[in-house]
Amino acid sequence: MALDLLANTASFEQEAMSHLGGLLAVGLRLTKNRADAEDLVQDTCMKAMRAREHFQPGTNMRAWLLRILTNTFINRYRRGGREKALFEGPSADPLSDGWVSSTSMRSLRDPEGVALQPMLEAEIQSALDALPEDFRIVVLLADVEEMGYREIADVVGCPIGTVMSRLHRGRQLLKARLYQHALEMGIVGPEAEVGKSASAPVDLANYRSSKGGTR
Amino acid sequence: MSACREVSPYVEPYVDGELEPSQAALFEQHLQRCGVCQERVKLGAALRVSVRRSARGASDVSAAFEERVRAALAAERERCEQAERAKRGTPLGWGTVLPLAAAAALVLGFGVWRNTVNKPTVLGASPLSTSISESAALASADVESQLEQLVANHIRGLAPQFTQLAMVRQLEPEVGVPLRPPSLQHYGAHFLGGSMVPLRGRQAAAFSYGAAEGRRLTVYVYDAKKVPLRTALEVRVVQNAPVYVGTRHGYSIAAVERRGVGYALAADMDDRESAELIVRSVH
Repeated sequence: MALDLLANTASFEQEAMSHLGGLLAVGLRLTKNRADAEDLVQDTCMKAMRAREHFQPGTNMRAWLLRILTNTFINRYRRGGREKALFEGPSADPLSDGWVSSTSMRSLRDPEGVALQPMLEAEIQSALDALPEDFRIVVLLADVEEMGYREIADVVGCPIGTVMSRLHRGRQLLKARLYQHALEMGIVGPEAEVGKSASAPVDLANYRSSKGGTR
Repeated sequence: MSACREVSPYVEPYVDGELEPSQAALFEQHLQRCGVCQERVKLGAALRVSVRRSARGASDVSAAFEERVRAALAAERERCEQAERAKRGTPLGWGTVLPLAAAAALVLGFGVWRNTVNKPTVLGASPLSTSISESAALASADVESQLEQLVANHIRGLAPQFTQLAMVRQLEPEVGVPLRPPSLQHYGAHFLGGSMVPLRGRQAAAFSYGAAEGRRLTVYVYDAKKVPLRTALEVRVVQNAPVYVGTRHGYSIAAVERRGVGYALAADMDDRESAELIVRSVH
């Protein structure tokens, strides 16, 4: 029994160490600086070590560790919800994705842009870093940790509706930033709606007329 | 005409896989007719992938940080074990010692070839005296204990499983990297034989060489990506190449990495000498 425990501890430790890079990557996006990210990851490993009986061997350790990492971050490293008042609230316009044309949308994700990918990746990192913390957390949980809305709501401690609106607003801000970047790079051309921030409501009629009423 | 407005709240949950099957089916009906919403979905999916990549890619872990976490975990493990022992009230019950000793003997016992007189007690001691934390270190596959193990293998000498260099290539699949035994002829050492040794749950090739005055040298060849021996060693620069050097139990160990293949020399020589030898031998 004691031997089992030791052997388990050793292999647990070894597996946990193998996730260090992955944890650090998420930690860097959460904390935005290396020193804090390293502290966060170390805290996460220590907590995981103490709670290792709760880990079921054979299940996804990465997901389990990321959950601990996120909880630790939310509980300890956050500065509180001071950004909430500014950004939260019902999403003003359901069609706000319409601020760019489908041509632009296509250009933003087009394989032609592959050559620019490292640059876009750096841009995505800085766009993520620029997001208000509440938005950044839900985007990371959804897209990186691939959690469902229910799970995110549990981890963050807010209703599902709030998760969805934060996710939506967060992604809007990311898209706006990327579009701006793409515009500067000449990847997309300017269009009628350009110049408005992503959060500015789009005039639906105007949008339709510019699209020639194709829908 | 207002279809897009009606379905727009579904775009993101659709991309996130959060729609009920019936909702998803309705939304897909719309998608088939609407190029703009198709683009929204594609852009949403591309953004998801990009975000994931940005947080999964850049994750270079510095050796110092890795070491820090490893040390913290080891300290935590030690603390747990002490608490466990305190709880038992006795230093160590026989029920624990016996299976531990058996395990220690197993770990120490593989492929041992005691043909030379070399200091048999340096590492092994008596298994019964092995403390719980030493056993844990042996059982754990951490880098430091692997280093110790390699030095122990060198001290004992391994039973050669092959003596023909032509055999070496056949063992590549087991190690997972190209096996090119370095030539130590410039040092006056000749190839004696080789064997496979377990290293961090994998295999490494151990090549033995004999030199003047009955000296022996062992070069381990291993997958450097899987076995980061360097993290437990000190880095030096020899002939513009990084060499990872350390001394364990009076033996020096010097490792270099070339294209993901690690070469670690264990020898009874000055660490500066072994660092130079391994750099000059591996090209």
